[in-house]
Amino acid sequence: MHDGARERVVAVSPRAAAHGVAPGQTLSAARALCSGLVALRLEPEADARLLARLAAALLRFTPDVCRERDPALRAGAAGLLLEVGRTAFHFGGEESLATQVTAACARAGFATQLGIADTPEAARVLARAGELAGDPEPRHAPRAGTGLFAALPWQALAPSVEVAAACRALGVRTIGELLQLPRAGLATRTSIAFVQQLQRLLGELEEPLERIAPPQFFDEELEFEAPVNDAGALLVAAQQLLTEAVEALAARGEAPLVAAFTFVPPGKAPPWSLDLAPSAPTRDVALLVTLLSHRLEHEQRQRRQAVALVEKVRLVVAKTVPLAAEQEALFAAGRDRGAERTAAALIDRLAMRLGREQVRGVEARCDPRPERAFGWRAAGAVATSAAQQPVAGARPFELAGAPQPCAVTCDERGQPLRAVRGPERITGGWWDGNDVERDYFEVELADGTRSWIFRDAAGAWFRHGAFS
Amino acid sequence: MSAAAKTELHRRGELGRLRTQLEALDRAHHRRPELSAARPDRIATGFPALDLQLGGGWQRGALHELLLPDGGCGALEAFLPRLIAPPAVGAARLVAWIDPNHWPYPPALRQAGLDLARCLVVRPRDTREQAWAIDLALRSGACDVVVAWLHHLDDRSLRRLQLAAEEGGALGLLLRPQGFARVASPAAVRLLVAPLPSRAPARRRLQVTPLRCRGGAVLGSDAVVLEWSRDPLDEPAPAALRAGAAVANGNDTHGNDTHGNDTHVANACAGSRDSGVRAVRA
Repeated sequence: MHDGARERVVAVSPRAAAHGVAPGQTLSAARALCSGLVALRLEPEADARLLARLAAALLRFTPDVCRERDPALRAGAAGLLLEVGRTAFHFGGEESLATQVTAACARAGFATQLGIADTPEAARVLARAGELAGDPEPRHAPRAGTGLFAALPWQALAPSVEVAAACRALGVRTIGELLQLPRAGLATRTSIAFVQQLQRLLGELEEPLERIAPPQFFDEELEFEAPVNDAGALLVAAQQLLTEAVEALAARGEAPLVAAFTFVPPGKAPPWSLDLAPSAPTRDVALLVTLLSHRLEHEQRQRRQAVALVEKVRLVVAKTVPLAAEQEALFAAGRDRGAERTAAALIDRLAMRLGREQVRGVEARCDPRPERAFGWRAAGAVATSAAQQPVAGARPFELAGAPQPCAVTCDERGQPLRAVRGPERITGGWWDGNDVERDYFEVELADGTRSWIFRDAAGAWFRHGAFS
Repeated sequence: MSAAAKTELHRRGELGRLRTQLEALDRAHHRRPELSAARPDRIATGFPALDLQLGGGWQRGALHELLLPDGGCGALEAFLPRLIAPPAVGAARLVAWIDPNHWPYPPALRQAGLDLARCLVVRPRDTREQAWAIDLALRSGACDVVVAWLHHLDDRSLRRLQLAAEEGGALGLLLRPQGFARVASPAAVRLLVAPLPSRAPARRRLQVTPLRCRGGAVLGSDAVVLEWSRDPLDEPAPAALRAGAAVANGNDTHGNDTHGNDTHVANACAGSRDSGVRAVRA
């Protein structure tokens, strides 16, 4: 609202409007009308950034999100156009999509007025009609139908003052009546631009649109009105940022791998940061917030002090992974969101204290050498489909870190006296220089305990495991 | 054909039919191991004689102690396949191994039927961290089974673990050296396990002495001899005959291993692929 020396009202909330505050008034006049008026400074750049964030979040519904350049938009409002004809069925149809878009906008803190129709202009008209009627419900025109907007008042076309006067002079009330008039006559009575608008409404004229490119990475910040030192407030801000980040990345079929938070204290104090790396890539904001709250708690205990004053929270997602919508399972079968969430929370809490390399998952590897027939992987990460190579003989539950030399008595055929199984010949490894050639036996001692031993190519015996 | 021959033929036909029925029941039992558990919070051990002692099997939401000798006694081989089988209802949760030095050999786990995606291996640096990690894992509700090789741990910490298992509904399995049999422990179930010499290469035997069992049968500390076979083709002989043989063998050759008349003999075929169970009480 900065207008030279005098501050003017640009946009008003419904409650302020009820007190008689209107755009164009000076701030002092507005304050006189409404004693409790809260005035916020107009920041066009910040508004543009905010709208860009919303647009990025809506990219999950369609790759074609366009900035609306409608001069008729009321002050304080901004428009976006979504081309959803090809993608709506993924979201359960256009009506269901409208509900989801409204919900996504509401999560980002925006109120919406939606119109869905065949052409951008028709959608605009529906949205404006909803606004004129004061009804925030999405309005949905059936395909290739003019019936719905034919009955709407021509004011929904947001005509200029001159055109509006001409329409009044013509005595028409609805768009349908306007459309029935001969075009040439209408053009002379109103304006060529207005007739072109009607043609765009009917789809007779193409409309150039300016598409928004998805952001490369997520980098946004939230500033508190006043510095806070309350972990709860930080978490609310973090949740807002995470929601936006997850939705923006979902638009590109990705999920955050590392979410780097920076907390900026007021004044000259150095900012402190916290990296949030969930054990499995996830779009579950609630889970990420839970992890963050554990981290903050841990951080506090480490520093033995409460969270310092924070003025600004910044979230940068620099690492992402592709994650298809239905690939978020920790377990391939029998998936259960609750189980996944508690498992991820457990893994992250263990890793927080013990270190991530001490908390691991395992996977089968396709290698004949017993000590290399498995590998470690990040705990909780979705296991790659393991090579299902059938293993010939039984394997022991305990495998020695390294084979231990041992003494073995053999019979005249060269087999261990107490062998219950074997020999099982295992060879391989020439490809990495650690080739082995071993004859494995399972032997049972007098007390009934069983060990897994082998004889290497040189004839030496080693104990490699125990059938515990 | 004589009347006697006809009767004999009829008898054999009847026997064959009964055998088929029994096998069908057995297969159903094998496919749905939970059916054998009388209660949903129990996991059948696969050995009816032991289930009888434990009051239905392993208990979810409880701490179990296995007191084992060093070396491969076979307890994991006998018990793990059933313990780590995914539950019949609800989603499969994690199976966590928490120990500084030990972890199970993954290919053996796969042979035992564990989906390695459920496997979580945690390596704490000392006993204090280990106790903390076991407590967290049991309490989290994220684990079906938590296994740890545990040496000394004070009574208070053990009691906390038992409570954690109750809270998280997880089955805690502590593998401890046999020396701890003399030390009191708040674990709900404590079993002293000793290996026995096997009677066939593919079969193995264990002697299990329940030291303590909350909610179990009042059979006291009767030792149970368990036998299982890794070979799914190890077709068990008719039960009565086998039981006789087992008792004869047990008393003649390994008389010292059993506790006189109180011994319960169970024969089980508990390989990784087939764990159909046939058991008899002698």
